[in-house]
Amino acid sequence: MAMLEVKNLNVYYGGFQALSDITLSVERDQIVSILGSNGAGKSTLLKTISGLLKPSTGSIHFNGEKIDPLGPHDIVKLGLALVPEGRKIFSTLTVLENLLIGSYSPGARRTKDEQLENVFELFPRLAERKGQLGSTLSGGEQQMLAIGRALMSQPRLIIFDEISLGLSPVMVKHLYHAVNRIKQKGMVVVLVEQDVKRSLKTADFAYILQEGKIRLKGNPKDFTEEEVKKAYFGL
Amino acid sequence: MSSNRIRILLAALLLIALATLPFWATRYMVSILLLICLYMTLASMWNLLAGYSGLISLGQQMFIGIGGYSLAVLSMYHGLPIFLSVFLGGVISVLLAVLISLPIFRMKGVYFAIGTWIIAEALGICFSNWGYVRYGMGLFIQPAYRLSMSTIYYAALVLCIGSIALIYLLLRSNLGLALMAIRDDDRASEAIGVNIFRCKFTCFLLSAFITGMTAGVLYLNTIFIQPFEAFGIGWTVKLLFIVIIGGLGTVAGPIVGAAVFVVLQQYLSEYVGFNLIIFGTITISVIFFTPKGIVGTFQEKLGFEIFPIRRR
Repeated sequence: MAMLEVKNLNVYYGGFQALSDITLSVERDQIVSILGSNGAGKSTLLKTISGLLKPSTGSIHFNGEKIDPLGPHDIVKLGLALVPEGRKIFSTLTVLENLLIGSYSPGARRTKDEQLENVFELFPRLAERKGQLGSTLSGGEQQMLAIGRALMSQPRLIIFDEISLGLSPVMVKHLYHAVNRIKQKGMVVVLVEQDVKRSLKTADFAYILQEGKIRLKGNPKDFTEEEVKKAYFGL
Repeated sequence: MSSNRIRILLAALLLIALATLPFWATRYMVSILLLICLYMTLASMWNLLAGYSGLISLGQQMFIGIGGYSLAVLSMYHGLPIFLSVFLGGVISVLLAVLISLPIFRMKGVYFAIGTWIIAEALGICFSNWGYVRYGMGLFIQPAYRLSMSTIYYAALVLCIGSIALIYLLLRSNLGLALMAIRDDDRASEAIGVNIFRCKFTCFLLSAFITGMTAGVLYLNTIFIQPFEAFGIGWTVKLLFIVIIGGLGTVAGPIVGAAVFVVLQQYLSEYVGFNLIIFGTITISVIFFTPKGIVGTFQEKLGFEIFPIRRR
């Protein structure tokens, strides 16, 4: 059984159809990549999966459970975490508070000390900056904090939205290294990216979206450059 | 001595002074501190909503009225013990809060403010047309005649210290963390698993409960309750003044604000009519020049918090 199963999803903003007939599945022990240019529907798809938007038709199952009617906090409780685009860390909260809020749900709260240790081991920089306000961190550190915060909820599946946006190549490399370590710890990883090259290199399976539809899917090793360009740009 | 031990020592001295006050202070001083305690509690509850939960209520007077009338009706008409009536006033306030939460929580920001105000006004009109509570003429709460000033003072002191301790613990709990996150970015906190409605609802009920009980003690002191005064917007205006000059969203703000307000009120009561102009001028000046209030400004300048609630 797939970890995440999206079936025939249609989402509208008023009269505008943002997603049409999206079907995708994420298996266990996989890094799955969802690619697409600006306006392809990636963010809409994520918002729908995490419960912030409701689909008009179609269904989303997570770990066998139907989650599309649930609210965002219930979905987090089931073990699906999102590292949002633009980090969205709490700038008036300290680094420690930002992490603790990640383990807000009762299930995660019980093991929060253990989780905190894991996060600090993954990103020692966060431990150094524990008492600082979120707003004083650099872009890369904020991204680490956003990832750490998502890990605090003890997710089984973690979605990274534009993890490399606006960061230096060194930092991006560092973060992708962390993504691989997260996968090794047994979590399922979904990467939503514009950085095609790097995410195709990392992923076991990829979907390319364009204008709200899936244009290409499969193992990225089998993709030809021609196919990717066509699916991505619509050329 | 570490700053923590100095803090504990000062707090202990203050507590002893407050606890023994009726034995060494004048009756006038006790009555002033009684008022400060009551306003502190009411203002802390308004601050919990406006300063921490983002709920600007202009209708706290609905719980003041309900608390006061519950005390009057239960203790006089039904012969219940006075302090049980005060407690039940809090319970009935919670019931009212639950009842109105369905429509009121669909409103946001300024609509929530107006909505709460309208409900309080409507309740005032209902009570002034209700023969059971003698219409607009009001009620004298006769059982309260027997109570001494120091008994009422102790009740107010217990409520005040209890509610400040409760707020402090609440803000240091997970709920407090969630409230801070919601204040920072509500969409992001929702996406991370915070149930925004439940957090705000909890604070709303707590605020109703303690405001209702405090109103009971307040009317033990005033003795006379009348609908347009009890359900009047004047209460929330006072609380707003206290919290703004003290410091919105700080635990110590309402404490300092209430002390300043009650003392000012005593001195300004000679100048009827002018006092409101002076209160208004002070509030506007504070909003313009030190928007964080007395406590907020001091915390920023000195980096010292009386009630530290942050995790570092």
